[in-house]
Amino acid sequence: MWGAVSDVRRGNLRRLRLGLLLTFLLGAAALGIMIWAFIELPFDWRVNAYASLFYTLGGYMLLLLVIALGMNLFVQVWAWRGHYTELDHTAVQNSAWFVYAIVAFWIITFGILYLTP
Amino acid sequence: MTTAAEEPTGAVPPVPQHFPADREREELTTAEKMEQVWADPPGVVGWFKALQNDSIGVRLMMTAFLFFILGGINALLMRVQLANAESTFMSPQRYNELFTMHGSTMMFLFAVPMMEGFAILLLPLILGNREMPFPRLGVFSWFTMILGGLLFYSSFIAGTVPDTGWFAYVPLSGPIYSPGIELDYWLLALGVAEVAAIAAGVEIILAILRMRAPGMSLGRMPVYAWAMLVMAFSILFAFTPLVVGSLLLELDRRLGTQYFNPEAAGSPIMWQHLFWIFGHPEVYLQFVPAAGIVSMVVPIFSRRSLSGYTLVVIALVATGFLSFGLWVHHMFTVGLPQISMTFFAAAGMIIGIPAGIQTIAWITTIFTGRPVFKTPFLFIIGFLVTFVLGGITGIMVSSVPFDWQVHDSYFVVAHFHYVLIGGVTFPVFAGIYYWTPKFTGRLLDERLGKLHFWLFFIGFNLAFFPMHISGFLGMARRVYTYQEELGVETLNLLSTVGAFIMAAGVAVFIANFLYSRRNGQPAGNNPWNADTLEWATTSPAPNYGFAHLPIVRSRHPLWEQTGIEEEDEVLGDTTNTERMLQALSEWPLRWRAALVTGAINGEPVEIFRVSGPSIWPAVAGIALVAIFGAEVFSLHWLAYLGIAVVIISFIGWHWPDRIPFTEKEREFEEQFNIRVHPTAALRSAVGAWRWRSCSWRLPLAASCLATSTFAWRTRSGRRRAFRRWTFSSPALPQRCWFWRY
Repeated sequence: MWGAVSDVRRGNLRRLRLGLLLTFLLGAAALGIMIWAFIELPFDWRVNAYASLFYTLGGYMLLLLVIALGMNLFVQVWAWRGHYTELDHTAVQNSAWFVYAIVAFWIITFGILYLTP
Repeated sequence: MTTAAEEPTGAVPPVPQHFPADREREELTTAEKMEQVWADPPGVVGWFKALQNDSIGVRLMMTAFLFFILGGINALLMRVQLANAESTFMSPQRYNELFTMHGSTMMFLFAVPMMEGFAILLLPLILGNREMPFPRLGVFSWFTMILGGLLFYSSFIAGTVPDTGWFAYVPLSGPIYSPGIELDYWLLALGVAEVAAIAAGVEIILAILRMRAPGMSLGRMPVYAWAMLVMAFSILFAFTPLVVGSLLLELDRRLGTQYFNPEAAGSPIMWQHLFWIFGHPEVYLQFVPAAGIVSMVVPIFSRRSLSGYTLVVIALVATGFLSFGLWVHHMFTVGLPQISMTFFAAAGMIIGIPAGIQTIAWITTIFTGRPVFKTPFLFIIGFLVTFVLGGITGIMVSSVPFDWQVHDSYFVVAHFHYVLIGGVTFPVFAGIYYWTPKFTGRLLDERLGKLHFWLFFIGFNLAFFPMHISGFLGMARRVYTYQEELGVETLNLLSTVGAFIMAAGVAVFIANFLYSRRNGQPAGNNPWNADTLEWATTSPAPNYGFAHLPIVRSRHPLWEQTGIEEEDEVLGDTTNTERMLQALSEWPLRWRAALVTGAINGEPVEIFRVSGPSIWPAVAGIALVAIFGAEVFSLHWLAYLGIAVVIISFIGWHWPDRIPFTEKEREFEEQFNIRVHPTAALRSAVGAWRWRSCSWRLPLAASCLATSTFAWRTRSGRRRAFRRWTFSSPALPQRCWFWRY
């Protein structure tokens, strides 16, 4: 995503499209892994407060990822239709910020869920 | 008729006509063309699309006032019940429902929307710009707020009125003790109204930081804008834990999660923490904008500038920060460790310092000025008297032993009504009397205004002062009656009479408003001889606010600015800015252009296009409320339909609506060395981030903070719990007092 934004700033629209596509594929893969991890969980959300928390925070992350993929999809459609220029690419930047925010959320949330004592 | 664009403008280079104009448009003046561009569309569909800050601000205020009336009727019915001992006017159940609805209405549906309505209505004019940055967000906010409120009140029709108090403590509000849908109404209907508050908060922050008149540095910004900025930040950080808490409680009730179940490692006390970390800042995010109104009205009617501007601003910001460190003083009787109670008791007393600074600044301004006792000023005097009394009792209840004595008694009811009615409602009325002429073009009637004030002031004190005494005598709050032997019947009768006198005062206000809209004295541009920019334009103001944006060179532009100077200590040489603003007053006339300025110094940064009318924000708001409403009744299919409509609406809302970047825009950029962005409004958000403050990232950051804090608290002792995932367990071993209590 970062590369895509850098490319559109330089006016390289072909690399912008590729960057957006790569982001989408990586995001979709993360989504798939997350859904698989949820299916494989050996407990459900009714067991205790921690289980409830795991499902709620995980579900929240999942929702954010779906929204990010939706945003990416639309930005990508507009990128392929040639909407963006080096001066006019606000939607790409906003989509990128959303992705960065989600990465930060993931690190904080799953760091707490899995790693902290 | 020629347009101003075609007229020579002295030193200003001629600005070319950019669009091929048809004959009809050519006949309009520049101002008329601008009005045409900025006006809301006509008709019924146009009403749904309308997004002008005037319309949305007024709608928010009117809706908030409607809920104020409804909440007031709840209160009057309660007062009738309490007028004499062991009354059978209503059942205990009905009484529980009424105090729940009264508190929830006043806190969620009156105070916050009223202040946000004030902000959306006034800020563009006070800041010397043309519009709020995201007007569609304002439309979304209003539809969400009014429909969420009506959904909440529809519980009366369904006969399932929430009855657990405005704080909805668990386990009473949990699935075992409240199995019906009453609490779902409370959680879901008010939850969606909270979304409205957050949406408006985002818009207000961005407007204040990035859409001020050139030269309006932070140090020249009116106190009102500072207050609204603190309020909007507080909304983002206070409402987030409440939304999270409401979500968790609803998950416990509907999906069987265990957040508040102590038998499965949950904690009922956590609800109180989540609620009050919202609930206490909620009080201050009502008081802070009210203090902003006071700081605007006091100097005007004292005929001098505000004493201690810098200290007042620091006090406002400090109040915002400190308000987040006070929530536990609502929980002194819960059984917390002494160390935490000591901390929160100290914080409760410390917040008296910024409140005291402001009070002293206002009193100094009045005493060193030449006061004019018009109606807005009378309400300010009423505010000072009642708020100081409420503040003193606030310091009293922040002392733990005293709080233990009076907790859940009528003394506390008296205290917080002195703070909330004295500290919020009086300034709101002052603000309405002060600013209404700007938007109706007519002054409100002075005689009726004074009658309103005296009825309200006397009624208020008659209603609430005796409650201090009845509380000391042992009258408990939230109980539907009392016994004659308690000796509080006369005090209660006085309170009931006082409440009805207050209601008469509100009735006089409504009559005054309706009468003066048609028959009031014409206001002129600046009826109060005020100093801020909203009084520099006509009354009522045109839809575009200012055609020629002003350059601000003083904290009191209408009192101190004379002529046009070449140099300004903030902007430097303003010749180019002057030329640019002159050109901007004549172009563009086909899209809504507004100016983005620097967050610190208010230097011009960019010209961008404010979003135009669209049906999608209204559709999104209606569909969002439909989702929550459907969930109250477990109509999942309707909720799914609502989700689909919300997604479609958001896509429609943000669908590119392009105006091509032509040679004319480029010419303007080169001529005045400023970016022109006719495509969309989003660039301002990106620009704001350069100063590390941004619209949509703030709620994300708040969500991030809330989820991580929540996760952190819950994960104390996580490792052992990890091993117990698959079977039911007793409470988690807790190490952290913060989580344990």
